[in-house]
Amino acid sequence: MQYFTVLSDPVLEALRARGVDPDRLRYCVKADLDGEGCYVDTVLTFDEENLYLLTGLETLRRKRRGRRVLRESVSFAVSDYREIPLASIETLELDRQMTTARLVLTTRDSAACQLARMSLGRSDLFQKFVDRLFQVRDGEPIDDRQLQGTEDFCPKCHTRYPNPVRKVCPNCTDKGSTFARLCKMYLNYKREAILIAVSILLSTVLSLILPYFSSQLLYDQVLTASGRYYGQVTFLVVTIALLRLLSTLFSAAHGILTAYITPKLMADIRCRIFSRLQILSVDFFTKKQTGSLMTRVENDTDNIFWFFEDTIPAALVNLVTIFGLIALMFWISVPITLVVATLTALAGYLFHRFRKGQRRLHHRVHIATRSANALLSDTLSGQRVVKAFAREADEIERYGEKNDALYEASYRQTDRVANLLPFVSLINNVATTILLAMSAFFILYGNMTLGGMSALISYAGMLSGAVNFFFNLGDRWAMCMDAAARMFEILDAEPTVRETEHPVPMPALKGEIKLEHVSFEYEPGRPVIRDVSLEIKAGQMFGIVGKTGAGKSTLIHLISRLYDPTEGRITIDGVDLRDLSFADLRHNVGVVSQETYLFIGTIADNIRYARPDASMDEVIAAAKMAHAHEFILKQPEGYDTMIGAGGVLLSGGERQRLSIARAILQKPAILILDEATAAMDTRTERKIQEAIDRLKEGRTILSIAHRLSTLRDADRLAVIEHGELKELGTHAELIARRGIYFRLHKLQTEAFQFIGDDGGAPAPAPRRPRA
Amino acid sequence: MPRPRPEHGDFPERPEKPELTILGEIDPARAEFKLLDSGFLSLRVGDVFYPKVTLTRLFPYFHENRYISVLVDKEEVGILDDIEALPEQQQETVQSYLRYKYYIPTITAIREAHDTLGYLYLTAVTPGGEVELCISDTASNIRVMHGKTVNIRDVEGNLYHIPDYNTLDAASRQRIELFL
Ligand SMILES: Nc1ncnc2c1ncn2[C@@H]1O[C@H](COP(=O)(O)OP(=O)(O)OP(=O)(O)O)[C@@H](O)[C@H]1O
Ligand SMILES: [Mg+2]
Repeated sequence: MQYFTVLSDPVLEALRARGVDPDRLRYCVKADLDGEGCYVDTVLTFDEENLYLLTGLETLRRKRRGRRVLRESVSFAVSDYREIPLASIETLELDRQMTTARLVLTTRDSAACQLARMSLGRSDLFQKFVDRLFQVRDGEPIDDRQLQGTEDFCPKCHTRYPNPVRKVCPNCTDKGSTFARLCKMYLNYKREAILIAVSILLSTVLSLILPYFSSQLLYDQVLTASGRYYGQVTFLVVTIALLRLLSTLFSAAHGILTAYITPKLMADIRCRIFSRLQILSVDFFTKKQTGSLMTRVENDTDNIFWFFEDTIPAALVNLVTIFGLIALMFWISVPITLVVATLTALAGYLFHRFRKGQRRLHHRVHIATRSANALLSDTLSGQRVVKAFAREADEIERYGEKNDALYEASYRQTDRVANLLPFVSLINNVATTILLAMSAFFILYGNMTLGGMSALISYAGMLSGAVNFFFNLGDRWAMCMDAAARMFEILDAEPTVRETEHPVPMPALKGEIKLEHVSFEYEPGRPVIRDVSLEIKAGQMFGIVGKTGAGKSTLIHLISRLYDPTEGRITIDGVDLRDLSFADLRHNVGVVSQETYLFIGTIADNIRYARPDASMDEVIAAAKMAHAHEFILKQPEGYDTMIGAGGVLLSGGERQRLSIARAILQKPAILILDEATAAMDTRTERKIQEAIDRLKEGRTILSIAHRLSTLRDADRLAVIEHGELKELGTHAELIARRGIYFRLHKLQTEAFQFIGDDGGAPAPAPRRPRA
Repeated sequence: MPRPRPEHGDFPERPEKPELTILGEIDPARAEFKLLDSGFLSLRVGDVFYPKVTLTRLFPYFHENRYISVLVDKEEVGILDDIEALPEQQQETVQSYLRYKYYIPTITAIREAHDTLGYLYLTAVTPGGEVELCISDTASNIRVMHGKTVNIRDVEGNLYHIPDYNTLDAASRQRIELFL
């Protein structure tokens, strides 16, 4: 048994004890709730004869192996067990509720009753389980190919991936390894990296020994009569100036080097992310779970940039500084150094705690700001609506509330700073005083010199800066690692719709489409297409009708392979879509989608998007066929008009006409029109239909429309309702059936009669326009 | 002059003579619901009998007991304006159905919260037991509604609910506050 849940040893033991042979079991799922909403474990599994239900509580033990946490089932306390002969099962219905789902069983000899209850997220597995149960019972073939490669578990530690689309196991990746991977990217610039490290080291060491010259040497050897360099002030000044110059030179060198390679590294990273995003499938971008991932990419690369540009060099500098300082200070006075180091660490820690609390308040300010800003931009972009409903005063009041909340949050933040900061810095002052007192004592009664004391005081100041740096490093480190982790998630993401390695070469398609028991869901547990089978002959014009939300566009997405069906298969000219190369498929399938998208560029560029090598003659011909030419003419800049974000604004119908022109230019074997003319007036629509009619030769056309008159020329029609195929046939056949299509048709003709023949929209009955 | 703005979630009193009425309102005096063993309801209104109906709350968070849509085979056959207008016994039937259907695990405390690699792991206490949830992209999967109610969707698509996060204990609140 391979799917869907791996049974733990205690469960297998319990089944064996009840006379079940685990080797004969076929599929297994686990429900997690009982009728009261308490968490229990119910294992459902079946063999050729019976469905078995084992309810109980599984005890898990967490085991740590290295950094990983592994989970192991240690016992299963059985509270209930049932056996139901497969032969007696009449229906097994999955009833999806708000956050849960239940499995309802009807058998030959009992009325419907609830069998199991589970969290909604598991219901898709249950659906597959139920399908397979009936297939096994009825001896039908089972196709598990689509389950392959969908393992949702990390191969290393067997925890479930948080997101099956992005196979990243947080249990097995840690910040350290993320950092190592980031550093690996640096390795392309090995030479520069080494140069940077060396210059940082040199400049830091030089700046560390400077205070020795400017205080200890100055006081004890130059200004003291018994000193070795007594009176040689010029020598000292020149030495200090030289040292300073050198240190500045080295520090400038590493600054210049990092400024040179970090942007280069970031450009590499951005380019890699962008290329990866182009390969990923559509679901990556539309999944709720990844929604804001995209918007954060920019932010993340910025974070990483500053980490490399600023934090890492600073960390190196401060590390060298701390070790150097401690050594130098020990050399001057061991006891004073110990006391000063302890106090500095203590002050650093306190300051760190203070900042941590501050961060929470800061977060609140951030949220309040964001919420006030959201309202601001919301009402600004909705000004027309605000004015239309005379809601200005209400909006002012609403903003006032948000503003008050923001004030409150910022006040709390600044108030805390004002109250606590003086006390936190007090400890620093105490440390300085103690240092002074101790030095004075050692100078008077010990062998410390005035210069030594002066050097110590400068060193103590430097030490506290370096120590504070490391206390505050944590935040920046965590921020950068999270940013990097998200970045690697994108880089590691695998497209769910994958091109096969050995595609069947099909440069030219006839355009025969076949759907076999196709089911699909965007989100687990919410099926959108259910068991649809239909056949579209090459050269046909095929119409799809159905209410909004019925799943028509989804069907198109499946045929153009933006998504793969969760069950069943789609073939074109007898070849499974999954065996076609992307190039052949995209070349042969042209889609005018419901949401038109125009890129930033000229009108001509947009029309040529599908075939950049098309000549301008062809562009104009396509625009003419799509009746876009008429409005392009009216633009002063003609085909060179810039459109898209920031360009000329086009109306809905104009945009649709451009997308149609784009698809016509592509000359695909299969042309799909999803409500392609919905935003146009009836007269223009009619003209475009005639153009499309002319395109029909040697081409399969799939057209979705709400207005049945749009589909008057269709050879066959399919009616989709709630994702299921309800009716299929020609216009005449469907009318004769007196079903859904008939009712829809009647409604629309009545509506047209009521409106009168405005805009020249005749009832769909006559096959040719009256002209 | 600004019109009084209804607070979120409470409706202004219905005017004496409503200008807009909901089409297909179900008369509470004539409706008769019955809870079946299968967990579905049957409904008789006058002499129309529906053997299997489902009820859907139109305002599941802020008006649990009002505006209940009655569906037969995914098609709405009417709207029940107010459960409380039903006879006592009927109310209990409808409520027990809705309680079951709209069951959302309520989080009463948060034991642990840590985030790694952009995923937030919460160990939460619900009346049904302790659960461990993994949440990705906290900005969009943890939603605060009307300043207090928190809805959490985990990576498997399951929904959890905190009716008012201000009433959580201080430690739990602190653990979740950073992600609101
Ligand atoms: N990316 C998505 N993620 C989740 N659900 C989706 C997504 N796209 C569509 N849906 C849902 O799938 C169902 C079918 O949507 P679809 O776009 O196929 O409908 P349609 O028949 O084309 O409707 P319309 O006539 O309004 O265009 C809808 O209930 C919709 O909410
Ligand atoms: Mg659509």
